[in-house]
Amino acid sequence: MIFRSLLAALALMFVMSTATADQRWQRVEAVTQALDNRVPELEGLSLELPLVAEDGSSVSLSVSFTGSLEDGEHIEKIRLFAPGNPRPEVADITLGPLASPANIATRIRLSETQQVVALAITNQDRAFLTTRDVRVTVSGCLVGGGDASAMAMANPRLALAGSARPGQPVTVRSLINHPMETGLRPDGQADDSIEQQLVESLTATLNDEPVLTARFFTGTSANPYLQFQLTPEEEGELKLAWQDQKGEQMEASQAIKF
Amino acid sequence: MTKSNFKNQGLNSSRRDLLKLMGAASALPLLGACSSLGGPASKDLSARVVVVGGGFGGATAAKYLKRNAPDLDVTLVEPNKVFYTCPFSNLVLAGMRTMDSISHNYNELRELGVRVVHTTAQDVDPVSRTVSLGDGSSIRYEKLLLSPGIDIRWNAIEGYDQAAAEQAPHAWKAGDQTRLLRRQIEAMDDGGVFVLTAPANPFRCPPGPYERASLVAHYLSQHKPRSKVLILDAKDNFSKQGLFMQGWKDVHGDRIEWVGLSGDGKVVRVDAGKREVETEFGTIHKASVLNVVPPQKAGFIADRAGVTNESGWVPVDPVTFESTQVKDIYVVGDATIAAPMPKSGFAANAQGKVAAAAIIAALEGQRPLEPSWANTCYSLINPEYGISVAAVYRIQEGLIHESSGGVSPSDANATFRKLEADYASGWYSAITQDTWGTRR
Repeated sequence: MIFRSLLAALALMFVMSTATADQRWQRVEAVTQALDNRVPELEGLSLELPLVAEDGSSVSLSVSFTGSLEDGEHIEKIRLFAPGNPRPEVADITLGPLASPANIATRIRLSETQQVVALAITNQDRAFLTTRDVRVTVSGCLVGGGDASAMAMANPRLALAGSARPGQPVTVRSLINHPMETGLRPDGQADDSIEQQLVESLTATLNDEPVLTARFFTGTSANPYLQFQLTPEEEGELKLAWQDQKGEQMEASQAIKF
Repeated sequence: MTKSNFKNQGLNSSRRDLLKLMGAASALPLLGACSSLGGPASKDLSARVVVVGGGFGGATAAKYLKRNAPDLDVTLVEPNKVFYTCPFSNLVLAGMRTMDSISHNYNELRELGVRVVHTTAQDVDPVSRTVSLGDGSSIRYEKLLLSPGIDIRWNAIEGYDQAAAEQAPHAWKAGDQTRLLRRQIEAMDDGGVFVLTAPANPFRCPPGPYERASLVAHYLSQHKPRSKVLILDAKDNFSKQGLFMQGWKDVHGDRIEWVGLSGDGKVVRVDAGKREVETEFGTIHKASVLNVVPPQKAGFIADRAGVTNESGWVPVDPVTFESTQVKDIYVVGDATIAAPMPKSGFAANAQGKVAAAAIIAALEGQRPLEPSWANTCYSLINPEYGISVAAVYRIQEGLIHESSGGVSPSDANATFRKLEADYASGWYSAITQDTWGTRR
């Protein structure tokens, strides 16, 4: 462990000595903590965001793994960061082997022009990292999620884009209505903010086998949206369960038929 | 006065005229800096400038180039002899205006001495500085200004291609598509549903889909009162949203229904034959008239010239609107990445003036002036109810920023809304006269 840390530190020093503007992530504590001394490969992960976001309250993001993996190796975690936001965490996604290929799309909040960071970690402890600069012309910081009195989750949605086939990936889309109050938005009273209320997590299972778990943070847009790939080996029931900060749950399910 | 300024005196006086003219529309802060700029005396005011595209951006640029540097050899390449504006085409759809009343021509530009060539621009070779034209000829330039507008991203929504647009029109370029959609609305049965699908940002005319829904609802209220309007939107937030929604409630009751992104409003598939759309989460909506406002990109010639980036739009130097990718090619209007300035006719007009001044400055060997731009945009909820947004834009830290602006008050009375509807007509007359010299 010490040896690995030492190697990592040396490698990091080397990387830092050749640092360019594209290595700003090295100064983001949340990112370095998530890396936990792993030295990320800077090729292999692809992050798509608009170059200019005209509405920072909902910016489409997709991240996919395009590099090569060893036999038995799969992407186990994808973490997204918006270091220019008041809080950098956007989403943490844990993928099981059924959620392959690793290809995630979501909608995020950006409070200002910044460099968004995506990190992927494999089950063999390899890390991949990529960044993308986004100019934000309308901040997503203070935009409400709609009706602030509607703090409960509503209208869970789940759909497959296309038909499922054994061993073939199919795109799964999910959405739930919720304001995702950040706890940072003034409520109009002096020095007071609207209480934080988030959808904390989304868990997907196929026949009770884990497919994917997502944790959402303040950087996830209102009405959290998540799209992923499912590669089913057998037919069954795909079930999604959302849980909010108050511990309440909502579910949606979809039959997987070949 | 320095010697070089003395040499340029004739030009400087025309520049002052230019600036006076520009001051009215785009409020340039100025001028002190101008007379202190000596610069190399590399002025070439008989240079050939080619302008491609005769819409708000290109026609304005051609006019202001020629007006302010009369020795310039200015050619405008535009396939159509008559140009129909997208602004006010929603009024045509609602039967409030004729196509003639939104048509403009190039007579004024010819009178000013601009050579107007009615053909398409097929290709640009930035090395030999040549534009190839649809008639087989080609034309050389010292400076090229592209105002190519938008092209549709065919098949970005599954099933929406050129053939589909003949059944489910976009009408997002005014002309035959406008006529087609108007005919469909007129032929619609009472009790039918007009479905409009709106794209994600960025796209031409941010308030356009919502004004269209408003005016189609107005027409339906007069002629087919049992009919409805459904907007399926790939966004949760849109231009002047609060004002539109209040106006819909005030004027149209529940005739207009809007479904945003988080309510499953994003359309992912179109079946134009069945006049049917499918949303992200699998809801099928059937339309009597289906109007697809599709995702867009910069006009074709921008790609050929190599000025677009991966987004499909054109990055420009915000001071001059010269391409950041290809020297001596300037690009204005909807094709550019100029956010937070909107993709609007008024913004294209202001950008055309800034680019014209920058081209003249560059040919003179002068530094460009620090620009500013204005945008004003009126939308009608019905013929008696107008709303507006206006803003001024300046350069801050090398980027375009909105320095001031706002929208109509939310608590205005009916007299105020009526006045804004009248101002909308005045706005249209003024901006089209400034651009084409036509009186409408």
